[in-house]
Amino acid sequence: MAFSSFKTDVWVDWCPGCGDFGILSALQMAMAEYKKPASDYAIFSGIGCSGKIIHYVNSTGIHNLHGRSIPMAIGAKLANPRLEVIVAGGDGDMLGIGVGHFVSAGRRNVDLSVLLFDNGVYGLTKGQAAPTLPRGIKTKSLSEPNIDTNLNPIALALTAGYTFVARAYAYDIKFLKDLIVRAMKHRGSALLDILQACPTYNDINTKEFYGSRLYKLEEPDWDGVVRKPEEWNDKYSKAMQKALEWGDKIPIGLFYQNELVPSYEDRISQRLTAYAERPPALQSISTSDGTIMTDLSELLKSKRVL
Amino acid sequence: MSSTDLMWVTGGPQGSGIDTAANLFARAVAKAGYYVYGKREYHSNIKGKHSYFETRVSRDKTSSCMDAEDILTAYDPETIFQHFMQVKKGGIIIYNTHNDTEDIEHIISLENALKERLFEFFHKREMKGTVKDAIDVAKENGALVYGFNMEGEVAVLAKKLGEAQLGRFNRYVNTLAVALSTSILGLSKAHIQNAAGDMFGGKGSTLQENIDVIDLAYELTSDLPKYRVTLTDIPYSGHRVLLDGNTIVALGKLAGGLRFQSYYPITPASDESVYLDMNKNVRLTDSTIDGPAIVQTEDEIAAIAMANGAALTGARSSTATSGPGFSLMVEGLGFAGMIEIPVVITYYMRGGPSTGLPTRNSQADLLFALSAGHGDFPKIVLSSGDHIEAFYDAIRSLNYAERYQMPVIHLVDKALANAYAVIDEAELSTSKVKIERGAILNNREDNYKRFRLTENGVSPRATIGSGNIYWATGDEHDELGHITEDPYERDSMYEKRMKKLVTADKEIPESERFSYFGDESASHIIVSWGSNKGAILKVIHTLKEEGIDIGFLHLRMFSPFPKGINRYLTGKKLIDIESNYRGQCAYLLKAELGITTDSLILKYNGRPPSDNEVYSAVKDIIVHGTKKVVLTNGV
Repeated sequence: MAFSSFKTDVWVDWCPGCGDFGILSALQMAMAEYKKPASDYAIFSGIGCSGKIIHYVNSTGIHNLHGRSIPMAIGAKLANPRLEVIVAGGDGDMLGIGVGHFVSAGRRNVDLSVLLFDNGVYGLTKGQAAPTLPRGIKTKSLSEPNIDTNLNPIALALTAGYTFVARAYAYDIKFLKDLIVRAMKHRGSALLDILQACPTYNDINTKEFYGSRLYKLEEPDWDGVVRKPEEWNDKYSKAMQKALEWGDKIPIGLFYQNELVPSYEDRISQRLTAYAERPPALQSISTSDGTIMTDLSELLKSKRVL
Repeated sequence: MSSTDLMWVTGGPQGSGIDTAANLFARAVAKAGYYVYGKREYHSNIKGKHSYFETRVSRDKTSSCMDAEDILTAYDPETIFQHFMQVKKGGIIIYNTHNDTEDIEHIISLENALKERLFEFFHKREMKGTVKDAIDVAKENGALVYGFNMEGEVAVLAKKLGEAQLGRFNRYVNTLAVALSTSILGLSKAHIQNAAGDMFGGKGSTLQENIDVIDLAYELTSDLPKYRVTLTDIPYSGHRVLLDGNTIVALGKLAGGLRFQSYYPITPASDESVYLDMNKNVRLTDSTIDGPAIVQTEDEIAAIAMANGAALTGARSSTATSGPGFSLMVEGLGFAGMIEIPVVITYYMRGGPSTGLPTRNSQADLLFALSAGHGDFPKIVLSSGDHIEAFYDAIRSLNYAERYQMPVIHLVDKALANAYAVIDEAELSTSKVKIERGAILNNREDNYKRFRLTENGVSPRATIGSGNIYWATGDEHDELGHITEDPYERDSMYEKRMKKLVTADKEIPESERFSYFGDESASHIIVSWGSNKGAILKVIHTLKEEGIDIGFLHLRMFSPFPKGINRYLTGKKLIDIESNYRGQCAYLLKAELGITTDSLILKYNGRPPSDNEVYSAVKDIIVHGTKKVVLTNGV
């Protein structure tokens, strides 16, 4: 499928220069490259500028409650694991109001790709500090420097148990597209932290700011993929150390990937007989005339007193 | 033959096997052909605080309890102090003489307020307040007392059996107590031994030891007079099951094709989800094994979000919670209303506000359930009155959700959630209800519009993955599901959503929305809802025998409100009975029908209304025209 077939004719109403444009293009390109039928994708977005992305992508998209796109996406994915489920939301959405869900998703390792639109501000409400904005930073939208310490999405995702942890840059579309494809291919929870500018409200983390600092984690210098159990500790520790790097040099790329951890779907399959073959959404519950197909007789028998 | 109808109660510290003891009793008497309704009362505590089981044994089906106990079976001191005043004249106390010298001051689990009431009570009688004192008072009140040194008897038995660890045998004290009571009730020993077989079969020496303890109990009581009502075998037909409210809702959901349930642990709701999780591999009539994914979430916000997400894929989805959890679910409820998600929330009501009375009964969340969520959006709200209703309501809730593409809130009060009942298996038939999925689109449709404006408000629903693409947003949207703030589009979409409730109102038959009992010409009509049904049915029956005709309208659906009830209510003296402070159902009658209720019978101490107190209150209202009676019975 062509990249253009993933576009809709809804007007994209982001501010000129917004990093969201790059993410939208990279996502559409990745979806085209990944070659699933458009109707097998499901994108769940949060609230804020980034949340509108689903309306611009020609595949099923649910523009969610603030912070709840992760649990809603998990529900859809677990009910029908054949869907390719993508979560798109801002750092305020997923690391502020939805941070509990962000952490819990890692513990489950459900097979989904989380795209974190990371610009450090709540844009749609005029630029309040969001969870990735460092303490002491005063953007032009703030009257005083940020009072809260920032969260580190990479370190948090590693701690929470995400099995694919990467960072990209909204203005390097090809690099971002490649990582989105890898995140979709990954079996388990994938976090892709996407650095971007908010040209309207964040005058600190601008294109110029990132331009001089970003460098790519690439082979042969860097390989974060765990391929056998004995590499686990070492690669995890190195990824965590790398996650702390923020200053004159900021790494982007794949920090860590570990497919040795069973996905939540694998774990359910161990307990629910039909799951792999017939996931919940695809099971029959009645005959064509609506007759109930559940046979309660064994369950009732176990409760018999007479 | 007299119509057997008696109350048996046992209690003890939580974690000491009260549930097991009560289960043993219920199963044993059920085997003689009796129906059982068991009320479970417990504290928010794991070990040590007082919990008790009140069990009604009767020839006919019942769904309520009486306050006066026929038999009190107590092996610990606190149970005596909690219940000795409830034993009726001529009733029996079977207790543990081992505890005779225990006094109220030294029972640390007794709540201070009760301790003070007891101090005052015994002080007036110039008594110290020992178990023996309480027993003496009960005797004065006409109770027959059978005392046994239960630990002593069990120790003798253990020695006889060559058991080295006497302490291990102490756990059989409650079996002994139960068996002493069934013997005095004239129940055949075989029934309680078979009941023990059901419960302990396959658990090593446990079964044989229980059998030996039961033999001992029947030996100890062989020369004692039986109770005036004896549980001789009576005829029965077919199979019967023993089920609690949580489990019967779970069974209803499985029958109704539930395929996804997410939940966060909360009393008194999580037993339903735990049962589902344990029984999720379900046999279908074509012999395949399918079943729902059950997911424990990080909080109730995630629970409803996951259920919403799963529902979008076509899996029938639900969550189960109680007041504090539902409070967190409200935003997800509104989202389901806005993007028209078929999702079911089983809402087990407990005492609020805040943490409130976590393990006690309440019906104070009716107005909250009805109005939960900002903005107007349609939802179906129904409530069940007994186990059988809860079973079918659970199935129908899944149907309503899909037919009208909106959230359905199924209210079950704690009294029903935790009540055990013996039920004829034939009453739980999966052939009585059909699966109705409404306008669901299984094929690809060109230019598909998820929110297409239609005559009845219901748009054909594509599920994610079915080949159709669509958008949905919690913002106001157009037919395609894209954001709009256009005033005209807003009106048509708002009206479309609300119209679905009008459609539901037209289509859902009255028989699923309320029941009317008694003579339609009666001058007084009781209006009530939820599990109060059981006690009220008993009371109108008793009053009828006294020559007083009373009607009873049991409301089961609150949204859409069945306005047809008006024809039963106009021109009548109305008595509203509810387990809340404000009379929330009476408020609705006023709001929906403009009808003013004449009298209120309210209860909010966390215990469900008993037959006796409902009877006295109704009588008071009929005779004296009393406007409001607050019921306060309960332990």
